Amino acid sequence: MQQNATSPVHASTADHHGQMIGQRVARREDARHLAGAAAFIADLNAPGCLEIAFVRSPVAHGILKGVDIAPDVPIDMVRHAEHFAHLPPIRANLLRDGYNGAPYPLLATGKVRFVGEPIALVMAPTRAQAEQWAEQIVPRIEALPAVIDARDEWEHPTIPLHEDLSSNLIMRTQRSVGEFDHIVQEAGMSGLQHVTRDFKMARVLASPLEGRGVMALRDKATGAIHLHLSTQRPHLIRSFVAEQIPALRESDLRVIVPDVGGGFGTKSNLYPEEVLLTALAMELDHPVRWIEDRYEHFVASNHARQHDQRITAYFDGDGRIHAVDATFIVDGGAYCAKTSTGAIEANMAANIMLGPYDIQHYRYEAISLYTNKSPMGPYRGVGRPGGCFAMERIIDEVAHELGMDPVETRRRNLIPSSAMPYVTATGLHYDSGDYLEAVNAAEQRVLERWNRDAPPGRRAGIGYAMLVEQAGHGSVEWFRRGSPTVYGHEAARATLNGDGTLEIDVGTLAHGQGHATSYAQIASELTTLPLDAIRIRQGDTAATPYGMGTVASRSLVMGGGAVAQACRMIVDKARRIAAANLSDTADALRLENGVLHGAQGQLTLAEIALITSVQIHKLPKDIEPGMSVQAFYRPSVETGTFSYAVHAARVEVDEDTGFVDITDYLVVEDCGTVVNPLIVDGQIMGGVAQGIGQALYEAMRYNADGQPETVTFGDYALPSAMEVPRIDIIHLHTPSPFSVFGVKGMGEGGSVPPPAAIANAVRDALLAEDIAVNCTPITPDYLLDQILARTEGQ
Amino acid sequence: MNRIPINLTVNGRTTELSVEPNATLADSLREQAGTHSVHLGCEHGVCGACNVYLNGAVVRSCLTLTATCDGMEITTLEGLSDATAAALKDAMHRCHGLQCGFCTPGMIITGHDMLTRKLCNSETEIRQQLCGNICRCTGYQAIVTAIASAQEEISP
Amino acid sequence: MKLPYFEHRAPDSLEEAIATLAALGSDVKLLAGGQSLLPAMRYRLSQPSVLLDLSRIEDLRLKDDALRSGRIDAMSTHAQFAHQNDPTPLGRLMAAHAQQIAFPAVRTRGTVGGSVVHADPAGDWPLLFLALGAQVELSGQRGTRRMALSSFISGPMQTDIALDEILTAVLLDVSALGLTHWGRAKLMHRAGEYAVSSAVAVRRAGGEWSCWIGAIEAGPAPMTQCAELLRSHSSLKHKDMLACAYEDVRAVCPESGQAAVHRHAVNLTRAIAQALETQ
Repeated sequence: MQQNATSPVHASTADHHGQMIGQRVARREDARHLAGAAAFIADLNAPGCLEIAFVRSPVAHGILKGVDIAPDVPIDMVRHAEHFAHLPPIRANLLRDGYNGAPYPLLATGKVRFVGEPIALVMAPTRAQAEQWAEQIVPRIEALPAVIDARDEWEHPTIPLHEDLSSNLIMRTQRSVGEFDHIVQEAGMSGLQHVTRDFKMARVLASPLEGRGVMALRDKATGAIHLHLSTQRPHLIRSFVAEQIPALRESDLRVIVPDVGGGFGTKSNLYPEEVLLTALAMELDHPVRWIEDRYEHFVASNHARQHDQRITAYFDGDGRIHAVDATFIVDGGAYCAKTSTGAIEANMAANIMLGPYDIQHYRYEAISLYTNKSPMGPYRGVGRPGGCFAMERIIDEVAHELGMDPVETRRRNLIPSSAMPYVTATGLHYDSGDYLEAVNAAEQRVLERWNRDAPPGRRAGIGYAMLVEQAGHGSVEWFRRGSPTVYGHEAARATLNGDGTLEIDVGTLAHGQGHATSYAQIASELTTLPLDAIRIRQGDTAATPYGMGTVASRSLVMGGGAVAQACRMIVDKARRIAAANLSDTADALRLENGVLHGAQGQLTLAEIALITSVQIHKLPKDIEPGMSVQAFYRPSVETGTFSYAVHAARVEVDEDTGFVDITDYLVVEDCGTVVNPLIVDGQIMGGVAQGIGQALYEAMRYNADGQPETVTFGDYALPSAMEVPRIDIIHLHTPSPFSVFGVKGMGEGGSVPPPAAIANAVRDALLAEDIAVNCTPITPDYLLDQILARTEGQ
Repeated sequence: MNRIPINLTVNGRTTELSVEPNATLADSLREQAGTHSVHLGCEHGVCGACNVYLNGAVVRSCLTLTATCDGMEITTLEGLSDATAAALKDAMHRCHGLQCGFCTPGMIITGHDMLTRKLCNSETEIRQQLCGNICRCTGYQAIVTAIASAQEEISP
Repeated sequence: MKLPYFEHRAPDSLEEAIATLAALGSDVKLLAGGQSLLPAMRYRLSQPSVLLDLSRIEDLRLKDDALRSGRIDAMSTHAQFAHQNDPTPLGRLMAAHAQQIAFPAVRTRGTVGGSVVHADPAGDWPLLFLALGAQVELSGQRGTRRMALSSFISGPMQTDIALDEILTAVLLDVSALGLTHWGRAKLMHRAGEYAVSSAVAVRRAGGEWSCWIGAIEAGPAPMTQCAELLRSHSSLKHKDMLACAYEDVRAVCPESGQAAVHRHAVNLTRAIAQALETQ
């Protein structure tokens, strides 16, 4: 077999996993955090560093006429748009017809388009001083009416926010698949019923507990710019920042990522602050730092999930859904962020909505609009929570129309496992999955443990929602979506040291997902070295190979694949060297606990590493010195892995207050082979908690003038330990046929079904009164108003 | 601005600081005492990432002026080393009670406090005591389990 | 959002505090626990040039016999009441009430006096003390005066406090109160939030009831018909109690929607039900 970096080396089709894969290994990452020794961006020290505060627009939409700077403010500490006129605006592209991009200026130029848009910045020795000066820099803005409602704007267009565009349409795609048109036309004749619902999902934001942060400085030793950044995609952001600064070359920019306090997608796009601080560092002889505070995070970090949907299902008397009609209107915010753009959610929701159901006749319309709000970005699941809500709610409505059990209705529409691999109406290639098994497992657990008994004044309900999650997809899929940044690989560099330690540098960026442990488990499995001999490094573009970061639940499939590949290459080389030294054949040697055993002796991996560096007389002439390999993983099947899950929620609704308590929550999920169950469970539970937040508590609200109304954790309520119940998890394991060890990506999945499952549960609880549950968050007054209206006169 | 001399004992070490009136304990601890485990998640008293012990009681260091703390004793995660702390940290590790780690110092201070004051007699009580600490990564369950587990170990 | 600049003064005595307050005029804010003031300052809703720190004044700290004397000194903290074990109805009521204020760490520093002067319509202590018919003690340059809390709080976030005055204590007439029954209900959508609905119902030795609700726009309000109904009937049907609650609630928030009125009324009946169950 030809040796090259991308083909598997001595890999069997089903990689043997013995010791490490599947182990609940407590994380290597923990010790530093538990000792209080972690270093997040705000903890880094740079002598002479100046702190930056931004002057941000107090107005949602207006003409920026200038800034008035009070005489007390040292003018040399201020920078506004003119200073950065040589830097181009950010341009997020989508290589698809009908996409209307617009320039995203680094500092507002000519106009302001959302409250929070940066207009100028001030530097000072302390953040408090910088803020004090920033308050004395007053923008002169002639206010314009604000565009606040996406549906309104779609139905009654007003003034375009962007001069180059003729409307506020970011993108509209529509397609009719299969026999949709015919089926709908003949629906009356063929006895098909239909049910239509309008669903509204409020804007939310990922709200990692640590906000964003940037520190930039010119490294005296090398002259390069060091950009310390709380980001999920170090290499890509490096390329993007260099692209935005004509005088800066990638080779002179190093991005270094410290500990990251949560991301969930919000730290993946390119932000203006990152470019601005880099440009400043080039200009100045001292470091500069900006730490995003919570107010700024509310107004200047990406928002997500604001959907206005109209969904229709056409079904027969047996509950079989023949066709689905879906319109998604998504509020994209004022600018298209790079790389996701404001079109990402509507397009994705339309693309994945059909989920696990065998529905081949489908019409969708995905509409994304510019509004005077903070730009949208990806948040854990991206368009999937919206798409899942649409499908899972409508299938329950179908069930209710027929007086059928919603679980049964689902069963009648599921793609059977015999149909795998299955190509969906929108061209997704599901690789494997037994959805019926998952539904049955969920229902069985629910029937065993849950009931609908509730104390007086409370009504219990049970609801389900299903998810199919595409992850680890390659270039074909990214290209299909129109992304100009075409993902498709991941990289890892493994170096075996003379003391038997193994260093692996990766291109992904864990921000809580425990890669230093999972990757080490994979490496330990393949090299037989103990975990504590393996060090995983990430985040420094000078020390890690070019990778695509951690987004889209890709890391274990792609990064794990690269790590595995690199380890196999190391082991293969070690075998060949050992074979030569032990007069044996490479395949005949037994690798155990880091030692290669032959008939006539043994060599440790450490000794072999020394042979390749300082014992070259023992190194066969046809083998290269050194024990450092760079490996790339490119999935052989680029359409992605598909994990799936069934969620079930049990709620109790207080009929007198409208408050909803989630008493029980169940997740039945299949993400293929699990490397570390502790970590996978953690990802599921964390995702579910965020889904609960969207379902019942979180809403980023704006008033009619575009003023954000929820800019504190008092107003924007993240669930606490009292709002999130115990989560019961059942694991099924259908290994992916083509990923390393059969793993599937799953990090986002937990956050996708909860709004639907909880809404379905509330609907079930109050079904007797036919209370509508067509929005998120499901607020107490929304329910109570309906309950009281129904019981009026009783 | 006039600076105010303040004596603080931080994790057993007494230092004299010179602070501005508007300095918060959180910022003074981070910038002058070097205890970076004190994290700023919201700076308005809801998230709990800044929780520290002040004269033996847990406070929001982001809502405490350093100027009001003269002569007081502060314990942060870096200085938490008793048997309760050891049991709790070990349990957090075993139970996977941390992911990104940003909320963790505040969680441990709060967890340590409830273990010390014996306010974790049921899962409900633990969750009640924990409601002032936000975690966005774990969904809380592993943290609750860790505290209960530490409780078992300390007083079986 | 760092704090804006201000000057910090920390008098050692009440007299010194009053003199400083009088000298500096309207640009001073009193610093009690800071749990409300400091967030407001961070969001620039308040930018005083001087903070007058009351934490060093011994006279303002909680005394051991507070629940017997009825003198709740202004700088007593929520935590002090949350943690006390006084077995009297008043002690139990105040513990239960304090335990549901915000979060544990906030309770360590937050003060009773601060809460009362802040007079947030959804504030916890104003509601309770109004239901207990409290008085407030205010000290200023012209001396010390007392007035009914119900007169002192004049509207949402508004009190009768003069520029040179410091609220030094809340005063309860413990013996006159003679609490026999107490009940309270605080609805929070998300744990630790300000109340969505809150209610207190207490019965005094003479058979008088005092029922109040908070978390309405205008601030805490008495539920007089409910109190009268309870006083004059030894047993009541739930639906009659609820109907009366509805009337009382509607009367004090005429602008509120039906859901809010219903919620407040039901929450009140829950407080009353709890009171009726007091042993």
